[in-house]
Amino acid sequence: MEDSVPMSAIVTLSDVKKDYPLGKLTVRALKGIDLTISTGEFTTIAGPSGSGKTTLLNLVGCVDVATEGVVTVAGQETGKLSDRELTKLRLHKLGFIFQSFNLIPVLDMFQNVEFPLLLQGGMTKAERHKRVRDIVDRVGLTDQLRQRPNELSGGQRQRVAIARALVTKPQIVLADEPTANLDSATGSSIIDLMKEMNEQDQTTFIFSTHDPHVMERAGRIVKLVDGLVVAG
Amino acid sequence: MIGTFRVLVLMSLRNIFSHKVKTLIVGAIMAFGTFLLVLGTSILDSIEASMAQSIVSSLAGHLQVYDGRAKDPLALFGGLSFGSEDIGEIPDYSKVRAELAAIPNVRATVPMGLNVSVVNATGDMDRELELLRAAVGRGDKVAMAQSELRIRHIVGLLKAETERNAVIGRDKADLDEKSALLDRALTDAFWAQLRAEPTLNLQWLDTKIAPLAPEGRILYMRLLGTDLPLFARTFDRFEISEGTMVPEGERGILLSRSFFEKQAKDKAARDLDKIHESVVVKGRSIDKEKALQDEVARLKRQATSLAGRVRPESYAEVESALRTRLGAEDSVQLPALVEQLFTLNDANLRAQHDLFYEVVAPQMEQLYAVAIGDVLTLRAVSKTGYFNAVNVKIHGIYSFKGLEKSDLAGAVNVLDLITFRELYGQFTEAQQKEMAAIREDVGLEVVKKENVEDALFGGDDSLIVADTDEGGFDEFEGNTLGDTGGDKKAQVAFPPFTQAQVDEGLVLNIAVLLDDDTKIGETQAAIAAMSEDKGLNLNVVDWRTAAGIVGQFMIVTRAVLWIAIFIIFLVALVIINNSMVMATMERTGEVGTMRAIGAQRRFVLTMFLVETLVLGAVAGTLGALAGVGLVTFLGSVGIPAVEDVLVLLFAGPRLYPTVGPSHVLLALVVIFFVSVVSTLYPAWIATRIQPVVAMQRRD
Ligand SMILES: Nc1ncnc2c1ncn2[C@@H]1O[C@H](COP(=O)(O)OP(=O)(O)OP(=O)(O)O)[C@@H](O)[C@H]1O
Ligand SMILES: [Mg+2]
Repeated sequence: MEDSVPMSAIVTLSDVKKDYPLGKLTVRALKGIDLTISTGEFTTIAGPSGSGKTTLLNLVGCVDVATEGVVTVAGQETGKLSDRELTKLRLHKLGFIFQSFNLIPVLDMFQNVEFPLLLQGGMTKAERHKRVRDIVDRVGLTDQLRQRPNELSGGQRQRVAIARALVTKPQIVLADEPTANLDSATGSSIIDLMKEMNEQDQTTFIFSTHDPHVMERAGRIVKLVDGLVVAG
Repeated sequence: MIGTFRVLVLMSLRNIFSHKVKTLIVGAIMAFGTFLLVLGTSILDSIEASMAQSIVSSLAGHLQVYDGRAKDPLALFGGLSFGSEDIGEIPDYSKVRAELAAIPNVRATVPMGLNVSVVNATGDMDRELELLRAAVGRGDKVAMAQSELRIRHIVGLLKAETERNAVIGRDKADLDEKSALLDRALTDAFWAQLRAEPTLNLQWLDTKIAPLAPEGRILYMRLLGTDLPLFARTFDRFEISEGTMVPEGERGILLSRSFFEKQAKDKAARDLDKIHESVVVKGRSIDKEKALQDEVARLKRQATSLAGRVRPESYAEVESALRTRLGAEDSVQLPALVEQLFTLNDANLRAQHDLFYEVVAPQMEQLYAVAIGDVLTLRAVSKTGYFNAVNVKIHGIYSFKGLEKSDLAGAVNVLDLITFRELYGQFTEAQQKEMAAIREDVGLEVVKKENVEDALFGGDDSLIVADTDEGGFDEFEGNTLGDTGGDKKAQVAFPPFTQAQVDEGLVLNIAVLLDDDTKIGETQAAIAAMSEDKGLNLNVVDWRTAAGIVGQFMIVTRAVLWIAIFIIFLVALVIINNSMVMATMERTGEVGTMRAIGAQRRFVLTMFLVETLVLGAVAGTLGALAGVGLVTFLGSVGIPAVEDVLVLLFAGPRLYPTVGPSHVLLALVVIFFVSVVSTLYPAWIATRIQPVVAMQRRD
């Protein structure tokens, strides 16, 4: 692959451990992760079930904090941030693509994509609408603007989710098994789309997958086994 | 910002539609709550308005001023101790009036004094005997013959009743004895004897026959002594509906229409009226209600005595008319006919009621115990514990325009202040002199209690009775009422009085009417300050307090309504809260997603609040509309006062409630408050949803 030279580290994890309470016991899901991801990378996190892929993405996605170690995302040490600051970081620097698409059911496609821009504020209606139209164009859903999520197919929904993740022009897009709920052809087209976005905007993509075909397309594969990085 | 708000409202509307069960439960509760609030507050306000109107504009004015040394609170419409409250006294009205007049917003003051008196209404036999005695005294042969006819008629009825009782099998010996006495009174021989030797035989009638006849009744009268012309001017709904106003400077009493119709009216006729009103006005049913059936039974028991009150000369005529109209056989007599007339049910009530007033009532001896022109002997316990009696002429009957149906307006009979003071037992020096002069003029004397009976039986009603010990009503039983003996001199006896005599004397309380009735509290404070300032030692109370139990009843009713509303909304709060918590749980994933994407906790909180507020606004509006609709409907048909206590509250037999913007606004404010409070907890839970839940696998 035409992997570009890393420009700068946008995500770093050093000796990150994550424990989950499980009744009276604790489960150590991550056992000391050291990892650096650079701007513009198209990285996949691979590994068997229970190896800690989701846990890792949660930490990078600032929806959870490490038990031990330091996680730095877009220059900010997440362990030191309040809920408010973490939320702001997610809103302005990160984009999310979920396995189950997670669109807001009561909003139509256009409104779902517009939603993060509304949360950000500071944009005129015209600017916002142009931004939404452009990104919807790029994911190829211009004809479904006023449809509700339940009127869209799985592939279409995930395209909407991609548009929503990218509409704020984030630095990092995180996706936990974005193709797991899609058939392989659709999944493949979703990966194509993600790759295209990665290349055009230099947006960093970090996603997890079980699918070997998907892994092949990644610029970098970080392999996890039992809470430790074994390769990548 | 506007965009964010728009999307919030949009989301809340869509959520309201998509969570149908929650919306239905919460919306229904909110709508019902608002509906109840609009209904409750508007009806209560209407009750209060109608009560305020009947209290303020008939008697109380906006404020009442009375003696600061009073032992009991002022209770214009009766307190707990019926009529015997000690509310102190204001020795010189004119002094206080001058000070009150100087206070801004005071439009008028009216001097007052309340008292309760008894008047003995004579039984028929007593009255006839009185007439007979007077006729004998005058040597009026024609009048004597008429009296004889009437007395023999009454005795005849008594005899018939005794025979009926004998059939039922009551105490035989007793009945035989009565029968013998009655038989004698029916013989021509007895009456010939009476003409020959009146004194002895009159006494025999008094002692032997009169006790066998039904007793007269005691009428209780609430009295208001006041400056009558001023009272009539100030309470401008006041109108004379029969008779005339008491001329300025003269003594006299005006009976209230409600006293006249309810107390003074023949009891059986009044009972019939009540049953008629229950069914026709209040929409109750004799056929279905035991209470009304009991009333009908009580009415039927009065049939015989009522028949006795039909004029002897019209007796046969009434009897045959009723016989024809009721389709009875020739042998059926008047008492039985009246009983049949009084055998009421829902179907025949209207017709039989009308029949009574068409055929029987006009021929009754005394449909009303008193009549305009009568001189009443009012008796009351004076402030010193003596039992006072004064005579006063009935000039007319009054009512308050628009408040004719109110039991509160017109609860008192009004009389001049001079007579009031006499009955109350307060005489100024001038009055005492005046009294002395009167006594000389007409040969009156203060009589000791032992001589009261003699004095009264002497037909001289214009006396001042000075009781030597605590007087009881029973000592006066059998005394005459009214103008039976042609005793007109009582009126001649009292010289006219001047305005100064009215003003410069004792009153018990003063009604204060205001220009601006929204400033009752301020003016009350101003009067209290003035009283403090001048050392007048006055109590100042608003009309609600002055109304006594009635006013407190209103306060209690309002408190009950608010407690009920509070409980309803508390329950609503719990239910709304629970279903909102459940709805929040359902939306955990959605909320988590928003949080992951970058929505702050505040956004989530706002989202839930907006959702309830939108629902509250929609449901509240619907509920309020339903409430306004119902009140408007009730306002046109009226709510019947099915219970007597409601008649009092409604100030009439029906309440016509009105609803205003303030009721709707209040209801919406409350529903807004309840919406917000009930959503706080579920919304708070929602803000605790972690963004990480968005990452969890869902299908
Ligand atoms: N919330 C949690 N509470 C307790 N244990 C957890 C929790 N989340 C994850 N774990 C545990 O942590 C370990 C790592 O889980 P994680 O979900 O990160 O694995 P994964 O690689 O994403 O697996 P999969 O491929 O099945 O998605 C597992 O043993 C899992 O049971
Ligand atoms: Mg996983």
